[in-house]
Amino acid sequence: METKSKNIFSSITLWWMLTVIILFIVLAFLGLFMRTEQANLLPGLQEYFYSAMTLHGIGMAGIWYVGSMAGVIYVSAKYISPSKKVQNFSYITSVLGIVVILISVVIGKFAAGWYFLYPLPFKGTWPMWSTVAFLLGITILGVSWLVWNFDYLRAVSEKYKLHHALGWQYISGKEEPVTPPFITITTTSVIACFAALISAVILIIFYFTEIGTEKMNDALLMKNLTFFFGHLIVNLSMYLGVGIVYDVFPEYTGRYWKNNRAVSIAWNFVLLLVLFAYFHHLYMDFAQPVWMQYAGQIASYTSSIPAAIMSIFGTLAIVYKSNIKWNLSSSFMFLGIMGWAIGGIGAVIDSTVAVNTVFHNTLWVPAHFHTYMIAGLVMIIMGYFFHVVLEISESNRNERTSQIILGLYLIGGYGFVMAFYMAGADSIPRRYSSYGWDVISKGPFWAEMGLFFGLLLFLAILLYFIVFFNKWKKAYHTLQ
Amino acid sequence: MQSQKLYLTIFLLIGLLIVLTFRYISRSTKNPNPEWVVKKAYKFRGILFYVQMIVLFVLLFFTFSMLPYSKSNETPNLVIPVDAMMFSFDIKYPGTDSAGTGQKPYIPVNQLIEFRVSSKDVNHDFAIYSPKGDIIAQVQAMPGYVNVLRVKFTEPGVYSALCLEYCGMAHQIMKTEMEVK
Ligand code: HEM
Ligand SMILES: [Cu+2]
Ligand SMILES: [Cu+2]
Repeated sequence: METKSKNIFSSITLWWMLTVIILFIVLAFLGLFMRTEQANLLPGLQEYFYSAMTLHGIGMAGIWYVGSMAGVIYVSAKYISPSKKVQNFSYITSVLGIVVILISVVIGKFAAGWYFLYPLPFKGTWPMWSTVAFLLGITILGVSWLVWNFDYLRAVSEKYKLHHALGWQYISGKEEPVTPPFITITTTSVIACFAALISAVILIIFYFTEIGTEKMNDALLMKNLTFFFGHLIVNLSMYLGVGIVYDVFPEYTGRYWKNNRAVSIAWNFVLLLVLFAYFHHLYMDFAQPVWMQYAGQIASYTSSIPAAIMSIFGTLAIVYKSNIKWNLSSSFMFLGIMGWAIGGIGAVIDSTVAVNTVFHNTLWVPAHFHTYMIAGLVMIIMGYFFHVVLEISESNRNERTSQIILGLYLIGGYGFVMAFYMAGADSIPRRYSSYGWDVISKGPFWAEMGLFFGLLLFLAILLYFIVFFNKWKKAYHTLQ
Repeated sequence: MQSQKLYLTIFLLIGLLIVLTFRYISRSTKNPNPEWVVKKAYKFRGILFYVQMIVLFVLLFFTFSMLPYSKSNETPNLVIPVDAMMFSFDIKYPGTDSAGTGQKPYIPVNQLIEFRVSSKDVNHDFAIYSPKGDIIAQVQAMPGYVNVLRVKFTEPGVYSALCLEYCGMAHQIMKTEMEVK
């Protein structure tokens, strides 16, 4: 492997990666616990279901966001210089935020869900202090990530004029100055992320104002803010992951993504559309103005075009008949793009208003987002993390143990999400700790199926961890 | 075919197509061809772009005629207010407020029913399940708002309504039944 000058973010990235993977294992375990509960195999622990659900949801959404962002920072060192101090700051404050959230959920039994709808946090069985703690935890994460994003934009603007970073020179027909596609993708995503975090801050201010003054909020406005934030943060994590693929994948294929007019138009278009796609979460709120419902379906449908035509087709074109070196990293990244595509189809189907009437809040929803997470973003980031530990530890790229991990992961992962899809098509609701009624009597069966494949998936994740941690230790020593 | 199964089938077919495409591409790397450059795929990409645009716009056009929102040119035969609360539904059948008529209220078949759904506390969701266990319609129940859902029950039987918005620790037991005859 070619020797590179050391990346200044090597050390902090090692810590990010280890934290993300360990938390992933713990949170996946909570996921298995939920499926076990739903299969009626653990009747005594029912009351913990919704706390587990809250922790699993916020934890998973959080770690894959920071996993992608930390990955982006590491790659970005090739082009720009984000502040090292800010990286340490966001790491420490993120951990702090997680601790506060853990206290709220584990001790305070907060269980309003990772995206909670106003006014549920005030109306639950948990004490008021745990709601305050949860909001505080999210505030810490929000501030931490705002600073992180802000510093990224600062670093970009140090090197590129903003309109060049966004690739507008290509759109207006010029070829100069050159902007790597990675910069265009991450800049658009980080700007949208900024918008998401701002909406989270506004939401939290509304909550705290109500605590302070007892002035009631508007439930529909609060729901709009909640999903603007929630939808964006999850989608942007994916886009950041795709940005990484654009930059790292060519190292395996020897073919490069170039920025051009089509790429720039696609990503600027994504930035615009992703802001309106969240309307699809409110299709069943008939009080929402109808034009928003139309806009939601149009934005959701059209945002699939740049994804399919540029990123997914692009990945296929770059691999076709190339001399690619298949190893754990490149296979995971390639298949991660496939999972993104499949999950995307599940999402587009459900973003049709007419379909949403029968799929809204059924298990079809966790089905599609677990697909583009477990089989998509998580695969991309796991592949990429492995790439980074190999790079830092200067190890050989030809890992042979990868076949078993990959096989188990695919069977477990796709089997696990299939059990969600089938249940969704059987009208089984999401967020149910048990399926006691006649009309949803197929629920426990699909939960058992999900549990079975989930265990295979869990095994694959553990095996990955063993292989990864081995290289991680080596990388750690290389840096000392 | 029942609609959920149709959507599932469409999903599985497209999913299969994606898997086969990725498999084909990854197999092609067994015989690498350094002559092949990505630019050669641009024309094909252009075609795909137009195909995807056309398919999506046809689907948009087609599915916009199937929206679940009330149409202004229809008048409901019966209006039924529904109040959701932790953890039950209060269905206010017309003419039953004074109670004591002795007859169990029911919903007439093949009539356009308007449910006016609201909530007394947190967000809930009023999802109507057919006797066979398929969702046929649903609407959110939001405090401070009234959501109007119109449904025509074409088959008699006992329908259930479940809460499909997480509303607290007993969310999964929130249910009511409606007889249609
Ligand atoms: C690795 C194995 C995983 C298992 C076994 C698992 C399992 C589950 C289960 C059983 C639920 C509850 C579904 C329901 O009834 O509503 C759930 C919800 C959820 N999962 Fe996972 N999951 C896994 C991975 C992930 C990943 C990688 C993510 C990444 C974002 C994720 C994010 C979520 C979210 C956001 C929810 C929704 C929580 C809520 O409704 O508040 N999960 N998961
Ligand atoms: Cu409810
Ligand atoms: Cu509920």
